[in-house]
Amino acid sequence: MMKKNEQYIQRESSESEGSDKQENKESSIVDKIQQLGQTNVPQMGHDSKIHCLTIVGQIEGHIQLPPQNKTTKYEHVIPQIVAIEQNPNIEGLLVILNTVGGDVEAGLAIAEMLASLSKPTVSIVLGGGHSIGVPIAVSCNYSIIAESATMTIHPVRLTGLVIGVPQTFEYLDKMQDRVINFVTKHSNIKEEKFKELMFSMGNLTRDIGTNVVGGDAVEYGLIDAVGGVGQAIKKLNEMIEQSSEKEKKQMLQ
Amino acid sequence: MILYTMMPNEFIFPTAESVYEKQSIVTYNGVELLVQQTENSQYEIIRILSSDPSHYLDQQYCPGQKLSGDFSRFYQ
Repeated sequence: MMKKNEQYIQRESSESEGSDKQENKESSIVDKIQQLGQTNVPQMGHDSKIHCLTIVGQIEGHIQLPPQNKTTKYEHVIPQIVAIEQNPNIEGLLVILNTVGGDVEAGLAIAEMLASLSKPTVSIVLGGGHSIGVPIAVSCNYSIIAESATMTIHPVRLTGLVIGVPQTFEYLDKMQDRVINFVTKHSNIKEEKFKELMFSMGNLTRDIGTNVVGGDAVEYGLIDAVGGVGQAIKKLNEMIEQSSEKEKKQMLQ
Repeated sequence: MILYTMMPNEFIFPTAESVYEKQSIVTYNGVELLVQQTENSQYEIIRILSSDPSHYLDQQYCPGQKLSGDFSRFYQ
């Protein structure tokens, strides 16, 4: 009986403290409005535990594209990924894709960096995740595609000076194998199916390849699920909780 | 006009150097921004390059805002 009363008294005092604190907060906010004419933008606590990387436009390679293009600069994205890996406050990464593709090497560089991140990653493909956007999308722990989004799968293209020897074809084949191996390793699609989509004729105008729409990408095993931002953040939070539970278990052992 | 060539578009119709020089990446208050120099030599924000989502909610880093005060050149 005594305990209950004590608890009741404690709760009351903390409530009055709470209202005191509120009054102090309100007066400081009023001060701020008077001084600056505005309050602060609402903060989500401290730093957000989920960071967001957007892969948009064309993925720039070794030559800078003209400024009117929207580009993803890999020399900027890669140190960002390193910073995200090192920062202890960041617990998960959301990668948002709406890209037409671009340089194969830069795209594979970003994809490998994302695949080797130790924190949970979820990718969403919105609009389009074409060409080298496919490896980037599947490199994350869990990939999601919007129902109306599409991914074009086509053979690797070469621009520039081409030397007319059989070795050029072998070189192209090797480059292609890099992409195929990466995608099949990080997703549930079979190599034969991926090659079939890549080399199919009649789907794209004046080109070889396939345009895979949202639901089909999941059916072929390329992407894990159809969804959007809501599902992505939910899945990311689940994965963050799972990994923190695993850590706790390890520490106890 | 359809050009049947392996050359990428940027080699056939190259952009002038002056267009590239106007844009640069700077770090302003710890946030990386892509900025463009406007006529009266002010800098206007084109795009935020940060991975922290809360930066995108902050009005002072909105695309179109002008930069004022000190900022360090991070990369040009």
